[in-house]
Amino acid sequence: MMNSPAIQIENLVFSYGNARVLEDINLVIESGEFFGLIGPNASGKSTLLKLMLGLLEPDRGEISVLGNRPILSRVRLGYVPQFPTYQRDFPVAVSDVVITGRIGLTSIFGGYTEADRSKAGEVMAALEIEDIAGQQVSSLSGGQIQRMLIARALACDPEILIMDEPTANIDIRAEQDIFSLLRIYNTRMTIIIVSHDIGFISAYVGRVGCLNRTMICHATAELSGTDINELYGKGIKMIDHRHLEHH
Amino acid sequence: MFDFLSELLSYRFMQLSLAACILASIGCGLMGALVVVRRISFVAGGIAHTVLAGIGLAVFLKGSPVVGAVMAAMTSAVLIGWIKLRWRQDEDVLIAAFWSVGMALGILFMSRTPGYGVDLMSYLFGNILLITEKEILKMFLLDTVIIVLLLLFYKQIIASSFDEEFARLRGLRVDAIYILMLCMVALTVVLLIQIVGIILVIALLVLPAASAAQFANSVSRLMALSVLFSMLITVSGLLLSYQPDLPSGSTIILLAGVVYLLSMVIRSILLQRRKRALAASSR
Repeated sequence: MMNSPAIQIENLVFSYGNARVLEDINLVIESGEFFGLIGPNASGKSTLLKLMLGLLEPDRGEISVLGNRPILSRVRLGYVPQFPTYQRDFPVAVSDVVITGRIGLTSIFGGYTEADRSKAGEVMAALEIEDIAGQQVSSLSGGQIQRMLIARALACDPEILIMDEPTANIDIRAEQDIFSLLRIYNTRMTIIIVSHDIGFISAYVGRVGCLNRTMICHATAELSGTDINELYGKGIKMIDHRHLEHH
Repeated sequence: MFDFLSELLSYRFMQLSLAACILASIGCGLMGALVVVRRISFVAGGIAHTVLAGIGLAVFLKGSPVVGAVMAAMTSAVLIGWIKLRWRQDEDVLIAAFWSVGMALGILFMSRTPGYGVDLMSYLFGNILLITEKEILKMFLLDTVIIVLLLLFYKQIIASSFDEEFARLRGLRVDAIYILMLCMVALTVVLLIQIVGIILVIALLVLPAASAAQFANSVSRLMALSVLFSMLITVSGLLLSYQPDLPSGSTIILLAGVVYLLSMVIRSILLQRRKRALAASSR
């Protein structure tokens, strides 16, 4: 159906100054995949996403997104950042933020169209944030912010949805709701999701990339304890600890 | 009181001055709102002070001071924006440089203008009562340009001000939009210099919008309220200054300061009331 894969990365190397962050990354993500990217802190997960988005340029190697340079394809992507990058005290309501996802798809001059507004309404309904549509961004809780950012990314009608720890501030039940929703959206778009919670995402994603400077990929079914040990460098142990008692 | 007002309004120069206040307030409220939410009031200050270079050069070459002002304002807006983005210079240092070099150039040109009684003071502090019909027409044109640009690019300007990274990912050229916005600020600065002069311009640009920001919950409402505040402040400042023969620019700015102070006090009272009402209803 599609000739070029969603993401194709060959021999990619990236450093921040002298600090090598990514080494010899080779990765192909086919269109329609639900791809999980896991790894310890500072393993380069967010950096790899930023390279896919064209926010960073690789030192060496090739990266192509939907068969093109990332910077040319980025309008066809939707992105949920790990931390909100917006100005917190800006006088703007949730629905006004969600509709900015339509930029790049709607008319250049003048305001948003009726179609933009109905798209924004549709994704806000999907994420159950219609009731806070008129609320000021400055007054939102962490979970509300994350739902808003996911809605904004979905309003882009993306061919690839790229998410960086999208459920970090959300409780487990809401997290399950959001992942079930993503599974529905996955029938229409490729989804790439970063998480540090291997156990949780392996129930949803089709394939997992384990990143720690370099990359190893697995189908979720064959993910084993040895791989995880290899990735994190040491076995994950249960630690016996006692709580101090109050007198 | 009414006799005094109606007599005052029958003077041609007063009619023109009031028209100037209204026209300046339109640009002031619209762009002041953006300057406040983007926190670039000192960039606006830098642009304003560079304007003196343009006015000085225009006077020296016997051209129109307003045209000189527009050229200098636009040039400094583009340069400040471009140098900041291209060479990653601190905006802070850039502004200081443009601010003082611009003024120095302006004063140098004026001192070299032979046989011309250049009233430096009226450029620095404004002299609204001397405004002519021709200048009113130019102010009208400046307003029109600002409004048309805003209508065309409102959503891009707001989106890139709110979240630059996301705007970039939506394919917007956020650097170009930033420079466009600085140019619009530059035009506004020229508008306002007619009313209060170069030195006081930042206050008139920022204070009405900052006052309005205490009550507005969207940028478009902030703009509307800023225009209204700005009109009230400039018109009443002008009328108040007339009888006791006070400098009109300074009176307007003092009034803007008072309005800002009051709006902060009123907002904190409103917030406390709302809290009390919430506490009462949940009991």
